[in-house]
Amino acid sequence: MTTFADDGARRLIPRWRYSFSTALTAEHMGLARAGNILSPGRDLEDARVRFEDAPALITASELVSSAIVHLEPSRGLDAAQFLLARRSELMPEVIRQAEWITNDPLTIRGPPPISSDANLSSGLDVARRVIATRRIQLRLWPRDPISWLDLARAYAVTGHTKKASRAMDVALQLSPNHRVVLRLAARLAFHLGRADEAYTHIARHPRTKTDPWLMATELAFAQIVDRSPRFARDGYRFVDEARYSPGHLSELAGALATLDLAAGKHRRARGLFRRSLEDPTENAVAQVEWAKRTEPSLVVPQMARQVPNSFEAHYWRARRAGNWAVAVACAKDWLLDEPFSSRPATYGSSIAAMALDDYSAAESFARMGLVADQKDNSLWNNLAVALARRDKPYDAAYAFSRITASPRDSLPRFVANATRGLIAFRMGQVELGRRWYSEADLGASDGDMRKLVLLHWATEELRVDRTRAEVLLQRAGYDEGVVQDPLVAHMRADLERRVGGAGPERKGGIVTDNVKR
Amino acid sequence: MSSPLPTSSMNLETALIGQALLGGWTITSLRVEVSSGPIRIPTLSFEATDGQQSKALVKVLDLRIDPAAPDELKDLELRLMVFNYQRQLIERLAGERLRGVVRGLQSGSIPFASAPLGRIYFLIVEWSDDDLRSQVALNDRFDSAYALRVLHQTATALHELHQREVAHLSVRPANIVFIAETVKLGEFSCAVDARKPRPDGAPALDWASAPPEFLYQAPIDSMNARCLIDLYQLGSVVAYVFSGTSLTAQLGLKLQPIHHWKRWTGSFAEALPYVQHAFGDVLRDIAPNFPEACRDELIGAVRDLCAPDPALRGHPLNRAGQGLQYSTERYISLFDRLASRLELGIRRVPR
Repeated sequence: MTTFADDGARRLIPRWRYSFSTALTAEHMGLARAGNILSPGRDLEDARVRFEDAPALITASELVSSAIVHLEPSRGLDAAQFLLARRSELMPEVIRQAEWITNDPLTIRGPPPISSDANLSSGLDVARRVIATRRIQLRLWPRDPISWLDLARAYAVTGHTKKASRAMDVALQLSPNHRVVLRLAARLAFHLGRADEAYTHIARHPRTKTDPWLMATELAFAQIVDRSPRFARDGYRFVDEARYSPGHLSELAGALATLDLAAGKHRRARGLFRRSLEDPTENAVAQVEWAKRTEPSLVVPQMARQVPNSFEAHYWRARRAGNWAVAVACAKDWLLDEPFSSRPATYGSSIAAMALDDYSAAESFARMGLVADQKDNSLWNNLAVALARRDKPYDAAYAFSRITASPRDSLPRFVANATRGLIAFRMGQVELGRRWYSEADLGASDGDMRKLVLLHWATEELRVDRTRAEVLLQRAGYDEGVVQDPLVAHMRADLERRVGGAGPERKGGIVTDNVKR
Repeated sequence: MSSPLPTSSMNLETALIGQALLGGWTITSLRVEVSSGPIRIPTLSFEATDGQQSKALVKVLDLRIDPAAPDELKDLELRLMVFNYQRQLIERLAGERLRGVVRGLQSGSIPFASAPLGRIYFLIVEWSDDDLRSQVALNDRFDSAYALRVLHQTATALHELHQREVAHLSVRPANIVFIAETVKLGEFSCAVDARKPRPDGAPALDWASAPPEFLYQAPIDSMNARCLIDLYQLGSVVAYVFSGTSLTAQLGLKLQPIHHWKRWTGSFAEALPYVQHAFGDVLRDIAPNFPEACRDELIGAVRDLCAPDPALRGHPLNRAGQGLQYSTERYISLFDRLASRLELGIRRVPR
C-alpha cells in the first residue's frame, strides 16, 4: 500500500552481485594514473621468432604464455593450435592456456543470463554453492577480498546476517580503500538496517572526495538518513568539468539528479539524468526509468535500454505501461539477480496479488524475500495478504503476527489495519473487518492510498454485501484532473466489471509495494 | 686505423667463428639462443673451447646500430655501460666462488677488424647443456623428489646472491641450468648489485616471469623490493615445475581483460583485489598438480612466495620479524625436507 508514497525514496545505492555475474563497468576500472604505460619490451616478439624457428612444445608453450601476459592472444594462436594438437602430451595448465588463446578471450561477454525457467529459490541454490566453493578457496588463499565479498553476499542471501557482516569485515580489512569494497560494505550495512553507519563510513572515508563512485554513494545515503550531503558541490563540479569519462560519472550524475528532483529543481535534474545515460550502469538506467513517473519528458535511449541486467529498469517500464504480467516477470528476474534485496520481492508480491490475482506467486515472492530478511515488515504483510486471499486466514494471522515495531521498517498503520480487516473478513468476522478497514480508510493520507484501501475493502464486501461494495467503489471514483496510477485504475476497472456482475469474486485486502531497498 | 661503421648488416655471427679470445678460449660455433629475456642490451652467444675438451658460453656485446633507437650514440653508450656493469658483477661473483651460480670464466675485449668500433667485448661463462624447461618437458611431472632438489638448489643460489646484496630479477626456468649434474642460476642481464646502481636505472623484466607490482608499475626502488621480486620468481618456478607454466601467465589468464596489466589504467593498489582474486583461482587450479605427499607445504610455499602484494610476500615468520622478509633460508630447508620425504617414500624412476 505504501507503493506510491514511498516510491519517491529510490536512491542510487550500489548494486551487489557475485564477482562472476558482475557487469564490469567503469566502477571496476581504475581512475587514470599518472605516468607512462609499461613498455611491453621484446619478449613476445622473441618468443614468436623462437617458435617459428623451432616449433616444439617448449617454444609453443612459451609463446602462448607470452601472448597471455601481453594480452595479445592472436599472436599465440598458431602456437596454441600446435599445443592442442598434442593435447595428450601436455599438463592440464598448459592445455588450459592454449584453450584460452583459441577461445576468443577478449570478446566482452556480459554476465551470464538468468534462465527463464529458474524458480525464485534458485538464488538460494546459487548462494549455497557460492558458500561451499568460496570457503574452500579462502582456506587456500584467505587474502582474497573479492571472494570474501561473494561469501558475504551469499550469506546475506541465505539470511545469515552475522556471517555476512563478518565476511564483509574481512574484505574491508584486506582492502580498506578499495572503491568496490567500500560501496558494497555500505550496501550490506544498509541491508542490515544500519544506514547511518553506511553513510558515516562513506562520508568520512578520505577517498570519497576524489572518487565519483563513492561520492554517488555518499549522496544516496545522505538522502536516506536525511542528512545534508557533504560532497554535492564537488559532485556537481566533477560532472560539469567532465573530470572523468562518462562511465565513471554515470551514477554520480544520477545521484545528483535525484537530489535535484527531491529539491524541486526539475530542469537541472533532467540535464543530469541525461548525463547519467551517456555511458550508464543498469542502476543509473533504472533510476531514470523510475524518475520518468514524475518526469515523463525524460528519454531513455535505445542503447541504454540494452544495458545487461536491467531488470529493475524493465520492471519500472512495464509497471508504468500497466503491463502487469511483464512487470511480475521482471520482478522475478530482478529478485533472482538480487536475492537479498527486499524491493523486488515486495514489488513482485504486490503486483502479482493486486494486478494479477496470482496469490500463489505473491506468496512465493514474499517468502523468498523473507529468507534474506526476516525482519522485513512489508514482506510479512504481503505474505499475510497472499495467505488470506488463499483462504488461509489463520496462517495469514501468524504471518501478520511476525510484524514488529521495527523503527527501520515501520509498516504504515493504515496498511496494517487494512490487512487486519482482510484477515477478519476471511475468518468470518465481518463487522470486525469493517471496523479495521474503516480505520485504514481514515488513516490513509494520500488519494491513491485511500482509493486502494476502498478498493480492497469493496472486494471483501463483494463476498458478503454487494450494495456496500458498490458504495465503496463509488467512493474510490475518478478525481478530475488527477493523473491516475495505472495500478489503481486497473484494480478499479476490474472491480467495476465484477460489481456489474460480469466476473467472479476476487481479492480484497492490501498488499504493500513498499520501497525499502 | 679507422673502424668500420657499426651497421646491422655486418654478419658478426659467422665472422667470429674460429676467433681466439683471451685465456685460451676459441669460438667454435654460434649458439642459437633458446632463452629470450629482456634484451635491452643485445648480445650474441657462441660456444667456445679451451682446447682441452672444456666448453664455455661466450657472450659478445652487439654494438651494431639499432635503426629504431631514437638516439644512436646514447644507445651505444648505454649498451657499453650496462655490459660493463654485468661484466663487473659476474667477475665479483666469480671471485666469491658461489656454488649455485653460473661462474664467469673470462671477460675482456680484443681487436676485431670487422666489428663495430674495431673491437669485440665479451664475457665467457660456464657452459650448460640443459635447463629446467627441457627437464619438465611439459608432458609430465619429472621425478618430484628430483624437482624438489632443483628447487632447493635454486633457493640456495638466491640466498647466496642476496647475502652478497645482489638481486637476480630473472629467476625463471630458462635460467636454471644444469652444469655437470649441478643446478645453477645463470643469466645476469637483469641483476642489480646493491652496491652499485645500474646505468640504465631499472632493468626491463621479462613479462612472463615478472611479478604484479612490476607489471602494474608500482615503484620498485629498494633492494628489499628487488629481492622480493626474486622471491616471487622462485615461487613461480615452483608452480612451473609442477604445472608446466609460469605463475604470471596463469594470473594473466584468470584476470578479466579490463583488470589485466596491459589495460589497467589505475594504480597497483586499485588493481590488487582483482589480482588477489585471480591468484586464489590459480592456487585452486594448480593445487592438484602437486605431489600429494607434500601438497600442502608446496601450495603454502607458492602462496607465500608469490603473494601478489609484495608487502605480504615471504615466509610468515620472516614477515613477522624473524629474519629478512626476502630470506629464502626457510625454503631451502623446506625443499630439502620435502625432497627427503619423497625420496624415502614415493620416489618414482625418472624417465
